[in-house]
Amino acid sequence: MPMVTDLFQWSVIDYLFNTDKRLYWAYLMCSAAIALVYIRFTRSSIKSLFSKSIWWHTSAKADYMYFILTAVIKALIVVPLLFGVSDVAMWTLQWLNQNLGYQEKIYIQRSTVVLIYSFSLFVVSDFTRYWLHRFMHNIPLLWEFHKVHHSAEVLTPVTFYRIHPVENVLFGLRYVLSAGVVTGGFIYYFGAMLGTVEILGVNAFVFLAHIAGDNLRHSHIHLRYPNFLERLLISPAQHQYHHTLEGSRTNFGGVLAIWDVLFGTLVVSKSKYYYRFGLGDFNQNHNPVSLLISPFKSSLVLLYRFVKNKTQNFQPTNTLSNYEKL
Amino acid sequence: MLRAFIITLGLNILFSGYAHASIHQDFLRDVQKYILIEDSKNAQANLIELKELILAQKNNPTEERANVIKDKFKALVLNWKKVEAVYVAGGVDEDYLDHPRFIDYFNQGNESIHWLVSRAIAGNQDLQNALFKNSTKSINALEYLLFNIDHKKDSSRYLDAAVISINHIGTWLEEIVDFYQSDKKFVEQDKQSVSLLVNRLIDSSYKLRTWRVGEAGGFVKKYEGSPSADRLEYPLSSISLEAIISILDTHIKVIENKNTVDLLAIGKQSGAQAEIALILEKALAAKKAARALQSPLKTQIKRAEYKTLFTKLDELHNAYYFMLIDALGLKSQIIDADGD
Repeated sequence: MPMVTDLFQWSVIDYLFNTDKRLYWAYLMCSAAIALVYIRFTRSSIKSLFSKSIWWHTSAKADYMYFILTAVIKALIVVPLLFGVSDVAMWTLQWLNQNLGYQEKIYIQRSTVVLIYSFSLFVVSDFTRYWLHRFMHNIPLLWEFHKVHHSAEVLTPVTFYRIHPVENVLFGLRYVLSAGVVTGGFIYYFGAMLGTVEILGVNAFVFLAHIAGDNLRHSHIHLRYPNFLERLLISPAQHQYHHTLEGSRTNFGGVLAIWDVLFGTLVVSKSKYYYRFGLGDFNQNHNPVSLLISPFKSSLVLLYRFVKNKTQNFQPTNTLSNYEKL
Repeated sequence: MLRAFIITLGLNILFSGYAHASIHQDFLRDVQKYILIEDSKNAQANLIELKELILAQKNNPTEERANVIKDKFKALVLNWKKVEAVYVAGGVDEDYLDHPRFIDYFNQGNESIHWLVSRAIAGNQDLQNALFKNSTKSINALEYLLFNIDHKKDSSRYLDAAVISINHIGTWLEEIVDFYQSDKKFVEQDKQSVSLLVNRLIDSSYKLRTWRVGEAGGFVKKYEGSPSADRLEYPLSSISLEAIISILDTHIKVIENKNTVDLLAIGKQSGAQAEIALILEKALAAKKAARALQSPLKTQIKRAEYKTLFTKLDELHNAYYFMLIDALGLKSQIIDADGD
């Protein structure tokens, strides 16, 4: 029975009914509602929302097939991480006890601790997400895997899952480390006063971000926020700019834009736009199997070249600079 | 149809919430009645009896009574350890935060209480003034005073000092008993109080492992490799081992008590039954390890079994933390891709 449950957990249907997933039906409905309001206000045609040239584009079809393929791969080869949040939290606690000494638990209202802890989990996770995302772009070896996501030429909510499994593992580890350290730290000071503010089993702050239209980040709905707000929260338009060749080294943020502001990578959206997504004409790869395999091949080439000439003329394959020359 | 569904759902949510609140409050009510009030009242009764014995000893010193005094002191300590292990009053009302520190001075500060008290006894100063510090009237000072009584010699200054100490401890203990008997907040605060109680158990398990066993055995960083029986909690009365067992008994009583609503029942309700059962298992294992040692503990600290006790207490302390972490339900598998 557990095997069946595990399989369901990774099945395509589960993505629509699991509040942990970005494609949870209610999140999609909220995004659709926001998109309809956007269309009404911008007096665009409602047909543009269901444009065949987007939803049935070769790239979009690749997203769907890749989504199913990776869901199956995850179902068959559930990759257990070397350690979990509990282990990291325990290591953090032991480290704090050894280095700062035992901390008598602070007496404070549980509800206050729960709120601060839930918010901290969200903020720290968003911060580490920013940095890993930035590393995925700036470290040539990681970029080989992240290119899979950026090779999409049209954006739909399913593009969110156009992620190489290696990237999944890296982001999984990032979550384990950040949630583990935050949890260990909070238990050190507050002990059993901990808990999370949840809505339908999801951290309330993450839930709010999802119903606020997270799915529009991967869409052609150019929803912009006022300038001041785009310095606090990443708008769908800002993320869409990140998916262009010229903007791919900007707007790395997940939900919060403050990391981009702090580390100088923020670009606010513009009203007039024409975005061309993807990696350019010479790098169209919409074969799901190839999307899975080619990053391994190209990273091997990269490593071979790296070892061969110790980086003097070292250039990662198909880096953006190559396109900029085009 | 839809209306009926919504009403049923609403009632379910309402009553499931009520059921949770109810079991938490039942548990807290039982803890308050059968542990907090009962143990603190027992300690208070021991203290009153002790005072009567001391006053009688002052008028007519006998060897027999001197021994009864020592036994009564042991009973007081064992009950006080139970009160201290789950001292939640300070978390409910901050006015009660420091009461245990006024009563028990073990592992606080660097001063030698025995030296301070012996100096006060040896001097001619009025004892009320000489014993002006809280530490010199603590239960640790009382141990020194009572275990230096010699019925053949004039011990009146020791006995007078002991009465001062008992009055001091009694004042704070009386406030604790009154608080537990009149307080309603502890039960009403529900989850806040359960968390508070668990925090006290964690704190107690840390002090058991580190202060009461680890430091004497030289197992902690501060005294690594240099065991010393002087660091035991009760070096004169030699009841350190009994005190450890008394604390463990309190942990066990909170977790599993067949006659009342216990922590296991709370765990069952909240899906943390296995984690709480593990804590119970570790507490029982620690108690078994303690029972494998012989009193006085000062003769045992270099035995392998003493190290085993330390290891078991360490496991108990960690089991509490594991329970907290697991109860948060943080997912450790590869979560939904969030690369963007």
